[in-house]
Amino acid sequence: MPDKKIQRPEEFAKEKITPEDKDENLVEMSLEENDALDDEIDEPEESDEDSKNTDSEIKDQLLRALAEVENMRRRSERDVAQANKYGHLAFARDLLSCFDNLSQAIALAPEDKSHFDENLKNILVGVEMISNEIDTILQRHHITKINPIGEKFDYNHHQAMFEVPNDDVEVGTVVQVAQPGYLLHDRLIRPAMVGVSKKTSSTDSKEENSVDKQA
Amino acid sequence: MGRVIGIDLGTTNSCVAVMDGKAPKVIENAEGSRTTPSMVAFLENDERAVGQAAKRQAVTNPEKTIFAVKRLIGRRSDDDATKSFSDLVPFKIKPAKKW
Repeated sequence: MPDKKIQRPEEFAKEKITPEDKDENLVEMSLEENDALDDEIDEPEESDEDSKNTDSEIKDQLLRALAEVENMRRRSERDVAQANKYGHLAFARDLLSCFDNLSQAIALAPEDKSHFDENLKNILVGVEMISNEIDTILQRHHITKINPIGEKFDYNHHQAMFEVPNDDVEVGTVVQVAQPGYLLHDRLIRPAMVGVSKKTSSTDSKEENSVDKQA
Repeated sequence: MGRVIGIDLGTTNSCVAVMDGKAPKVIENAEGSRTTPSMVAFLENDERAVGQAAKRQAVTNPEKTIFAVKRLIGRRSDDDATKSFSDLVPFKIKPAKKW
């Protein structure tokens, strides 16, 4: 009997059973169940050692599970913080066209308003007030406008739409802002759409020629 | 414990996901979007820009903004496909010095 390989119940439980060998093990179990019980009574020391092993394994698994729970707690905390910080980004993005149109409407009004009648003047003042109010609200929600005219082109916040030949300013300077951009905290809602200065075409063609010669 | 990540390297956009328990979870990039343009730009003073940033500066730097290079993976420089691709893009394609 000792030379026979016996599968004790606790050993059986410990093993990770894959679907394929599950049935096989079950058959073995039912056949050798009695032997297994006998064996347990005969050799109590070995059984103790086994249970120690199982204990440490369970402890290890418990520690891992606790660590995983802690990780998950931290991750979800971070996710919630991020969602609170950036949650209104998509909403803000959808609203941007309204702000654009509003500021364009204000820009359309002529400097000289002397020939306007009283009602029209009041409407204009009202529209400007709304625009100012919106600016304050945007600031309160950590949304800042990017209007980089005259600044150096920064690919983190600006989108280059076209290049403008211009020798008066340094190469790579924003010379035109087609559409202002917006930031939410440190994240871009929309980049500023800009035109960037480059060397005038005469120097450009010279450069091209020299490149051609090299090639 | 080792984590499993998967990268979808696309021709125009790439996406990264990590196994979170049993379900994959797409990771957002620093700008908060779930896909990132498969682009890299080489700038003055050894600077490099990738993804959205590289795309935004492409107009100002067309010869050193590299995109759609997935099409070239596994091809030799004298391949017909490489040549026709080379005609479509503003950057130059040269054979490596040693291959």
